[in-house]
Amino acid sequence: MDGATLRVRDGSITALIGPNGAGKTTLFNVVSGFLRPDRGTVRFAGRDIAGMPPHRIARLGVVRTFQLTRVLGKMSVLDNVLMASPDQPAENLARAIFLPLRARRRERQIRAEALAVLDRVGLAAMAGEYAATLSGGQRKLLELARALMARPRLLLLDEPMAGVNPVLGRRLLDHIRELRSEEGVTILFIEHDMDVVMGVSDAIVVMAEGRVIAEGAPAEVRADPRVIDAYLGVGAPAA
Amino acid sequence: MHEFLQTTVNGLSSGSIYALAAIGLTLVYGILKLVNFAHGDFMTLGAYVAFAVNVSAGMHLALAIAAALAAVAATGLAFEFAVWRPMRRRGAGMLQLLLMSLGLAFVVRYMIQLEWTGASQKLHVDPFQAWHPFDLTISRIQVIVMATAGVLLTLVAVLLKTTTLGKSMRALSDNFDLAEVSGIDTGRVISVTWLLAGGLAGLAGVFAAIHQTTFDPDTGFRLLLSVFAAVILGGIGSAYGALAGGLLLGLVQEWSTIGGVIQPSYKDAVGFLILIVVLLVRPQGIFGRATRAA
Amino acid sequence: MDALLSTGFWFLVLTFTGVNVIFVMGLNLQVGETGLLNFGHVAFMATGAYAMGLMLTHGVHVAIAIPAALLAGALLGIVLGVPTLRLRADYFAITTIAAGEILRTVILNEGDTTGGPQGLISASGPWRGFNRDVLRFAEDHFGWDLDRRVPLLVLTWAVAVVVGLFLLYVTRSPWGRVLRAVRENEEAAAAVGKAVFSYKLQALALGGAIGALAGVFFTFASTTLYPENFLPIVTFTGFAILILGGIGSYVGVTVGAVLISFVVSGTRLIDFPIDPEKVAALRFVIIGLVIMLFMAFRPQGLLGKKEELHLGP
Repeated sequence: MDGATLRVRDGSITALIGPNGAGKTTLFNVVSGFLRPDRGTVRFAGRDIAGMPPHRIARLGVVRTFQLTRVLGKMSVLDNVLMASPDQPAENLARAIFLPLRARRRERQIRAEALAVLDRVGLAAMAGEYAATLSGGQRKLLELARALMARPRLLLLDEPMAGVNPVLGRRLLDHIRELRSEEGVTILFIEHDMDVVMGVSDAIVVMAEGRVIAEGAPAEVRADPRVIDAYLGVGAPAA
Repeated sequence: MHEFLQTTVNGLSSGSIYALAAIGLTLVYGILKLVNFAHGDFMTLGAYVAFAVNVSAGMHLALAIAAALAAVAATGLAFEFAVWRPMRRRGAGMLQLLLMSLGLAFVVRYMIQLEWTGASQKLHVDPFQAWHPFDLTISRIQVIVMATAGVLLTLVAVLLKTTTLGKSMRALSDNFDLAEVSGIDTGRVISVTWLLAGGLAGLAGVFAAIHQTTFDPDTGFRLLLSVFAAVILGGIGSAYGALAGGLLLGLVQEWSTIGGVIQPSYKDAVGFLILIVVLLVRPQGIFGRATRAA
Repeated sequence: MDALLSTGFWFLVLTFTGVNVIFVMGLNLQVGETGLLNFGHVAFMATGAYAMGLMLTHGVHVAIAIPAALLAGALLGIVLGVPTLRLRADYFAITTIAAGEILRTVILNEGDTTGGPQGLISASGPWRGFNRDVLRFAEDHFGWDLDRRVPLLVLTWAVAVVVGLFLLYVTRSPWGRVLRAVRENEEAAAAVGKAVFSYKLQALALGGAIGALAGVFFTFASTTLYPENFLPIVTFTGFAILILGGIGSYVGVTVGAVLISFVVSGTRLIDFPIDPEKVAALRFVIIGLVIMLFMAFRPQGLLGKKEELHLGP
């Protein structure tokens, strides 16, 4: 990736598109700290976060999901979500040992919160199951739930719709819109389905060969000749 | 200078033993993703088969070496069919196989002890006969080890380089899936790999037994960590790397004693320290390429 | 029955079984909960044992020596973990064995301090006097005529139970939940803000302190420490216990330790028609087979949960 410059406006839903190998996931990895950039900056809420370790970036509110889901298969669905809470002091060993009552009280609140999040993505009924038993689409939803539990300010979704059946997919899209409107979460998502991209996003960033070649409102991007040339022209997914 | 040359000779002879053992270990790892903790005990088995032929049956050492090679090669192949292939079919994970190899190591080592007791044994080699070219001391043992190992290592290197089978082996070790779709008969290559790994381990075991003058059921396992060090030095999965890594490890262990700064009794520890340092600084090995994530 | 099979002998066997329970519980925190394949766990036991032995032979009070020995185990975990915890599971395993062997080589060669191959004699120091006081107290106040090995047996098992309860308590806390998340998928844990490396280090250090605690009791029970008490096979026997009992299960660890102890020592009860040395070899063949068969057919062990067993990629 080289010379990719983009801005994601606070409170927007921005789609990141481009042909395979354009560097979309690499960009996610750099922003979320999983890859250290050789040079360049990543600014979030006025702070340079480039090169910070992933967990610190996540703590600042930049939370990602993965293209290939990474559910914690040998743990319950509920534990998958509980684990993501940013606010359980008993994740510190000393507090877990010496302040068990406070931990338990906090745990009750977190549990209610986690069940609400699971309910929102339609997995509440599965809360007690091992995550390994979920279908591919359900795993995507669980990843989303886990990301939400971490209280993101900027949510990076890597192909959230891939492998999700259309009914679930529509529900997922509704959630994404709700998140923005009700909680002010900024969303950047990678997606190949142009219907989804055009339907839900208020800005689009187009990448090709590691560069950002266009950005703007859906209508502008759709009309941009460079985009048509580099992306929509060359065997792009059916729009 | 003299001390340097002497330790170089010593290092080459112990290093060629590491190299022989390391090639099989690294190929098995590369091709089957199996970290084989029983490899050291394969070496021990080689030493004891040689003992049975050379001492118990009173036959020539060369015959004993050949018998060790054949017997351990067969053992390697037998475990492939009895243990590893069925486990792979069941989709066993890497750690599951690793722990199983640990169990197998116990079984092999203590079966040996059951048969030959835990007492230390010797092969029929005169440990005191030596030559003194340029004021150096080169024992008959070192000559046997270096000459035989040198010939065999060259042979293996040529086999891996030129024959179709050797090339397939390296291809599988490099990238299993890619090699498989390109039409390599993986079952056959795996079988040959086990024959080669077992045979070389058996040889290494006999040479180790000769080199140390005495051996016991723990001999191979004690060497295993150094063999791992050689494999990692050379870049795990790379046969040439293991060869070079083995020789280098032997040399460095011996060189470390130059000048008396480090006592010879710390030689093994020096090897382990190198292992740790290489893993930290260059986990792909000194000769490995910096590619392929876990 | 000969003298070897007296009740006193059995008290000693059971004491070492208790030491093994403590040892493997520390291992389980690392392997079972956190997914760290620590093949050098014996190094922590050696650290605890020799730290204890050296302090006691130099007149340090037991009440100070025990926490100091635990701290030494935890410190070893940190020193070992900081550079190595970023390595892949198999590399980490090999590195930890190497570290353990380096430590043993040092103990073997620094004989002026450690006694080297001749052993660290009277390492249990004032423990014997304390033991005598306990026995006298039991006799004077309760009229009990106890075997001299009983106090240590009771204490070791009491500590094993406390350690087990403590580990159950902390691993069921949110802290333990993060450990399991790290075991399942480090990247997923990091992506929601968990400091993966720090948790791994904590598990290694706490497990190391528990391994050192096993070393403390090993010192009490054996009085003289030898480097060959701390060969890699000690760790591997620990893995056999863990696999047999069930990776992840603290009750399983206890059951596994008792069963393996029976295989190693209890089989002396049975009068085999073969050479004693062959019996000794046969025991370890059985341990090897237990590892292999359980890994093949019941990797969750006797008491582990199959659904929660994580055996890596």
